Amino acid sequence: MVVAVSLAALALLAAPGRFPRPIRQIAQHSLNTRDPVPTAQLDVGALRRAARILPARATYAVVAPPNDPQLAHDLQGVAHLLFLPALPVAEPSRAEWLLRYQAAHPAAVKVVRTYRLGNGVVLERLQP
Amino acid sequence: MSYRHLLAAAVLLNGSLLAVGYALLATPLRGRSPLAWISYCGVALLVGASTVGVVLCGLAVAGLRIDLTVFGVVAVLLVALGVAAAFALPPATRDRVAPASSGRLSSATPLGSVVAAAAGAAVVAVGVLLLASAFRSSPTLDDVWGFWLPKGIALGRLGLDPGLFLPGGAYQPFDHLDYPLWWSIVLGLSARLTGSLDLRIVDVELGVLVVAMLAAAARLLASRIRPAVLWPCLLLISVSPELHRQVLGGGADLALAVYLALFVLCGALWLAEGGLFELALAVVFGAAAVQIKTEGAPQLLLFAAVLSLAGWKVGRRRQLGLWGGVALAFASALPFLAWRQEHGLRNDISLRHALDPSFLAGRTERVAPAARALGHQLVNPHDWFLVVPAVLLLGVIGALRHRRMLWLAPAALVGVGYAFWIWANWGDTMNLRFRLETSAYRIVDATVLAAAFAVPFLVDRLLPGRPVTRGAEDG
Repeated sequence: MVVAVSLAALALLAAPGRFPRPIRQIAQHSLNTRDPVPTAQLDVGALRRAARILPARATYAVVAPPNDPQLAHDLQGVAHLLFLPALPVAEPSRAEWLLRYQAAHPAAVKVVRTYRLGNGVVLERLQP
Repeated sequence: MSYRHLLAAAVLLNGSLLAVGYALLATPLRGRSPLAWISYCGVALLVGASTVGVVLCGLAVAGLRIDLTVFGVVAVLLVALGVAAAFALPPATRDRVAPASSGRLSSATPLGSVVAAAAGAAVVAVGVLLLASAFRSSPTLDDVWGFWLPKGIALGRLGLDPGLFLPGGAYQPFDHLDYPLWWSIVLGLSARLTGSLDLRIVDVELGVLVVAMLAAAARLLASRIRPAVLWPCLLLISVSPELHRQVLGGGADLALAVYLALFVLCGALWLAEGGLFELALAVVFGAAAVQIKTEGAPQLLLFAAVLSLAGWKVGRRRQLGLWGGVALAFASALPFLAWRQEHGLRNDISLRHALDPSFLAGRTERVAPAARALGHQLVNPHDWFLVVPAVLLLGVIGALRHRRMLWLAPAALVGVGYAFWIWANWGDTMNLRFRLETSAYRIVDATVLAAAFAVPFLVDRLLPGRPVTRGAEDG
């Protein structure tokens, strides 16, 4: 009996497509992604693209829209995860790279190169 | 969406941990049948994970980057050490640390056999479904991608860099810098093995730990509880909605609860029976518990105190053994504690505040809401099903029927865990409503699971017909 039930459960695991509703609820299909699931609407794909560009141990700062603290919090956390081993700093003036997420350009930094990552997300190489 | 890389990562990591665990168990298990060895798979995986994690925590503090190479070397060395010990130690020593029994009790009636088989199959099915759901879910708790996993990635790529792991450095530090490194290290290695930073591996790894806990509990209890009682009780625990929700959450609280619950189980078995095997397991499980979260240490002490009081009649040797084991578990965390001390890193929750009567007296309005929220988490059937009510009810029935206070020990454990978290929320300075809404559901995990493994004992001793026949004894 143990073997039969285990095989049935394993078959469910391997089966493609959609499961019946009760199993779908257990499996939480809406969360079935390799990405972090933040509270705010965040374009994690754009951040993954930025992560591929950032050199290891480069310093970066993140700028988020000032009126959305949840987005700022989630953006900070997801960037921290995906951008390692690049290193976060608080002040854009101390960073080698700047990630602007649907936010205006901060004063007192000079951009050398711009990478448009879509959805208003921009990665900029700053002048040292 | 492909799960091949997830499956490969899970198999590689847990296969390595299993190999380490079995090597370390080779001394006590040497000479047992293959089936007996297989029955220890849950114990072996948790022993391997605890030991590898604890060693890697020490190496991180010593300045090494905890990448896959270091993990591989440590795993190979531990396997070699375990196997060498199994062959080098004299038979008399091996016998002293061997489990008293690797057999299982058999059902006395056909109905008992049917009940045990059905419940056992259901537990296996629930375990498989739990793992299946873990494979299909990214962690829901933002702490996982906010600091637990980033810390692990950083430890692998940069090491314990003071710029990231201490406040006031050159970079923006992580949150919760006071937390130990064990869970971050395990998650960091898991994520690296996926090759593409697939976060579903977090839930998979937590699911594996939970399934291993159920398998370990089944193994440790199978020779002590009749199967018609054991398997339905394990089913009661495994179907708790909160267990499944929190596997998908990916947080460290459940991993901590797994190890604390098994520490309590093995500590209780040591006090009751005096087997060195169970004491050694209690040390290994306790060592992981104090290195997963900061609150693991006080809970370990409190649960050990409850065990010690409940077993006050057992004699000095076993009491000293228990507290010696607790001391060893704490000693394993010394490198990180010394590092924290050296860099002036304090707990997020101030112990000075929490122990200051005048501070506490000024904020008594926090007690009632904390007690209400935590109590609700403990007894609400939508969270932990009927586990805690069963512990309380069975304890009272047993105490009344047998006129022995020992029956109330599991209930006391629940009471102590409950009181501890009320006190922790009372002495905390964070907004209480926010604190309770975001953490009350998971901080009670250790209390619930630690008490849960008492349910099979309570039911077994309350039902008539003990002792039952012993079958499949080997070794």
